Amino acid sequence: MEGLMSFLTLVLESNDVLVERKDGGRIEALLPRDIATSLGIREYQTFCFDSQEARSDDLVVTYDSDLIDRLSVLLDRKGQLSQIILPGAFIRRDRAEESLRKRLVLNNAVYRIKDFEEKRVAYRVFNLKYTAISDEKREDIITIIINEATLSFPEEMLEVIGPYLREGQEPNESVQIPSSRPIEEVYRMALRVLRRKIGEELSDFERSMNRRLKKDILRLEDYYETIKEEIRQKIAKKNLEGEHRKAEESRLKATEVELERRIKDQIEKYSVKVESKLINALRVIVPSALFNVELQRKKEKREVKIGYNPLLKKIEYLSCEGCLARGCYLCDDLHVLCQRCFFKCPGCEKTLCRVCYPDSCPRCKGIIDSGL
Amino acid sequence: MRKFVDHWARQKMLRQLYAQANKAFKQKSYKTEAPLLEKILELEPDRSDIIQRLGSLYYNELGDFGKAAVYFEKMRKMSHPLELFFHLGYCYYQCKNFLKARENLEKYLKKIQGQKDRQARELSKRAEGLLESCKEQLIREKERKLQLKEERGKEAATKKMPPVQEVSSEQEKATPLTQPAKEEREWRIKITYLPPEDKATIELLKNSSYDNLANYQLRLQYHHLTLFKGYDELVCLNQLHNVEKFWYQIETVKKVLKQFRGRVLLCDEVGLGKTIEAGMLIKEYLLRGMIKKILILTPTSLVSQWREELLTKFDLYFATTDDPAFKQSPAEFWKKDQIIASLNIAKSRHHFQSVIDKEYDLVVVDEVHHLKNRQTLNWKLVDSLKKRFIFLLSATPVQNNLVELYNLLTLLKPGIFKTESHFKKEHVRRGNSRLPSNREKLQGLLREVMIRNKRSLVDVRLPKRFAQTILIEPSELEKGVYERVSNFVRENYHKDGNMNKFTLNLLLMEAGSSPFALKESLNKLLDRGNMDMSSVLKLKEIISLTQEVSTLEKGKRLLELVKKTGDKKIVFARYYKTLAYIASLLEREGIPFTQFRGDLTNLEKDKALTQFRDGVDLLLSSESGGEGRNIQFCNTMINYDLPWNPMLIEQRIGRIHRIGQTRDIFIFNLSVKDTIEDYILRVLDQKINMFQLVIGEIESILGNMETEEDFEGIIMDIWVKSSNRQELEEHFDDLGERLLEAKRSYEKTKELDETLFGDDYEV
Repeated sequence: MEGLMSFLTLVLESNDVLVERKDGGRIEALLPRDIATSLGIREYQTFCFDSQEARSDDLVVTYDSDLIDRLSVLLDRKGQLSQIILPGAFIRRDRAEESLRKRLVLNNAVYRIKDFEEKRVAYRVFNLKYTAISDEKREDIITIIINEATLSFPEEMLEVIGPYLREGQEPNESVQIPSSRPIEEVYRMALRVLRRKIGEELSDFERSMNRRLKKDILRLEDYYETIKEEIRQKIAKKNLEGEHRKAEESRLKATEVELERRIKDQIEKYSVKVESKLINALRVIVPSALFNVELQRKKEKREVKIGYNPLLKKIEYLSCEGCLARGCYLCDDLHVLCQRCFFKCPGCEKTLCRVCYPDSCPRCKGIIDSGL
Repeated sequence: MRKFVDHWARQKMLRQLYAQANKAFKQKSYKTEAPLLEKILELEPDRSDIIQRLGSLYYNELGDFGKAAVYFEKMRKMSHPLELFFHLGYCYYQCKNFLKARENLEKYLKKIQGQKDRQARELSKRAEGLLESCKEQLIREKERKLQLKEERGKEAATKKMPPVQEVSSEQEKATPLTQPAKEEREWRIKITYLPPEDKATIELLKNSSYDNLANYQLRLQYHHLTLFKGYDELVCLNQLHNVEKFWYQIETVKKVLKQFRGRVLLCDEVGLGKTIEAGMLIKEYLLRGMIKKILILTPTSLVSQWREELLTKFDLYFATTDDPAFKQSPAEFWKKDQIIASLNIAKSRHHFQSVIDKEYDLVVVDEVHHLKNRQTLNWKLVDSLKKRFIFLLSATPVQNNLVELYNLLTLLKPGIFKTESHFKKEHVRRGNSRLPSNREKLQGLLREVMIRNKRSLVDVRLPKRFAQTILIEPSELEKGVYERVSNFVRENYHKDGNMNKFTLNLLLMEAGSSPFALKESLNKLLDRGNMDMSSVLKLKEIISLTQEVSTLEKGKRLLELVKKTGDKKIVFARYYKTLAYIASLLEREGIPFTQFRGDLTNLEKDKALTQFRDGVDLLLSSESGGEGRNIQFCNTMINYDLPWNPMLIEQRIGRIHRIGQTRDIFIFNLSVKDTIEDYILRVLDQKINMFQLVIGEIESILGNMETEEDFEGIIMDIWVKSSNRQELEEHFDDLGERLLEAKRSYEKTKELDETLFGDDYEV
């Protein structure tokens, strides 16, 4: 309850409310009229966070209180965007190159460092809330960090910037670091990473639901198989011919159709819809370094930017364009791929790129199974 | 001639079909009429009236829009009304073929332009609405296809993807993976990601005016708080100590909070941590300020275990009926806010009224199958309690028949099944009171109140356990010490005096561990004074003998064993003096080891485990060794001494035999001949095969035993009352039989519960 008390104190104080702590887990507040009205409370109000200690005039506040919902009015559009600038660190080019050579390993292509520049790089931290609705609802908040210059997503950096957030800093409006690419691209990348992370978070839930779905379907298949077997036995036992046989065969077919329909219903019942919403975003400016690297496979070339992260002291890896894992192959169209997205078709052994051929093999038309 | 005959036969058939179809039409038996008309059409394919009729039948009466569309398409080739396009469009819309639906609706709207009659206007409105909807659906389909493309790329990065690591170039030079062949009919749930509100978000992100960090953090904190409100985030998770939290436990807690509103029957299979789940729930409710007065009712043998777990893992102190304070002032005891009580004590005549007079926020009942009969005091006690929330825990809720389930669930939700006779009528199969009459129906009701996680759900495939007892012949000196202690305890056990049972138990336990552990307690006892001369002399004699002991036979056997077993191993001993002795042995032999004791700081404990994992092969540990930490890299344990309580033995084993362990477990028990530990091992190992049981099963078996005493008390009673070896063996045999009976009963119950519940109640 201490956490709740501190939070309420901070929110009220940031809206010019006079707040004083009292004994017994209580706070006293003197609110401007408009604030009091929007919260639906008195201008002089005491709050208590322990229902056992509450006095008659106290407003008891718990995690379930309606007051928590009403606080959104006070927050309004505050804190939607912020920016911090981290201090620089000396970047040794040789160390950065060593890290690049160690971490960028392409198994079927070569690369060449064309350029190295030290510059301020902006990272965008997105705090996104997702809601997954099936026969139950679950919500969570996921934080994602994207390098605006390279679209890499070094998650370890979130821990590293933590202390800087605690120190607190007023954003310096005069420091304008224009983004090297449209914000839509950065945001879209964040959404891709979000989907991957949601998939990871929901994997146990998904496994449990798949189990239940499979059980339900097996039960249905069992039940309808019994009916079908009865029909088959009737045909055989009574040695049906002509019209009667046709009638029973069409009953058999109808049973199969009904089973398919019921199975589809079950899949629909367990289906999960996931919505996401941005809570707020933070721009983190870091003096950093970028490599311009030329990738080459056969005669085709492609330039990419790879960031050196001075806080993590390593290269941010090139991510696979299929699944965002670490890339270590190039296809003939120079898509960067991991070893799962650069694979052999099970039907005809042709090597395929998942980005070029997401659905089926161009040679044998075999359907690509995405469930690895 | 033949042609004439065929034609005649065909005409006859047609007449019959028409007659039947007419009859069906008059009787409004459309399902019969349709196939008859289809047969007519087979014989006379150009009959436009039949085609029209079939189209109308499927469209208006039978609701089969797919088939209706087939016939309407045929009608298009003949002369037809304008509305046909509308109807076709509608049929395709219902069949989710939005492209064709749009095509036909647009055609209809184009052709009907200018028409002003009422029907045309109405249909035109409908057509416009449908067209709008089609366009939306087509856009969504397009987006979905795009998303699917992305997802296919992303799907490899779900749980089966390994975490990103520094990968050596040798590893990455592997040839591209071959895709596995598509499995036949693999059913998977659909996860659809709805597109977020891009425009508004992009506009916001383009804004270059920034707010301060404090507001940024406040906003984020606020949204986290809202998750607490919906129980999507648990407040308690960061406040647990040495608890490995599994996803199914967290999901269980959330479900009880969100859906079950604090009233639940928790029936996880053994070894999955029902106590942890209950502890998390208690902690969560406490932190949210929703409860204050808690009563936990358990079998006598489990009281101390509950107290220990709640204290060490959840920082929750509970008064228990094992405490001296309870005996001193029961009235004051029952007024306390947080109590763990033995069910037997709570229901007794002396205490029943005090227990039910109080109002509780939460009541937890462990091994709740003891409440299976409504006529018993157990059930009446729990029913009489005034409570807001109640958790009933049992791995085996139904032992004999379904009426037991009725009795339990009536405690949770009175009236859920109305009366017993109503319950039997609705849910119990005639002639077999162990099976439901309608499984689906019962399931629907039970799902509102029961959670039962199974090992298969959480993917717990624990390897086997193998145990070996090494029986050691003590030296004459060691034998002399033990016998003297044993006699001393027997003589003083039922005497009123300075030495309570707890002290005497401790002396015998320490004697079973090592004379070094014993020496300190004996000296303390002497220092306390207030003993008769005879006792003092006896104690001094024992102390004198312990001082002569330098090397123990058990110590020698331990060294032999340690040298023989090559792999990493943990050696458990209860007492620090025993640990010190073993440490000195190992040092003398030059065997590297590290120590883990309860009195080390967290940092020291972590260091010890790191050393054990990365450096040395032997961990010397007290009871707390590795609790809550991952030491599944080790698969061998040696019990230098043995706790008398099988659950403590189980806890030791559970340090390495738990979720995450991939190798078979080897357990070595060092047992000195003719000590209590020797007899205990005979009962546990030879009688009920305890070391081969699944983790947690011993708890269920002990819970099945009808006893007012805890296990240690039972052992001590046997030891004290037996005057010779024969009596000892008889009494321990009896205990073994009781355990065996409890085990049999448990196994039968397990089977019944599996039949009844299957895996339908997982979280």
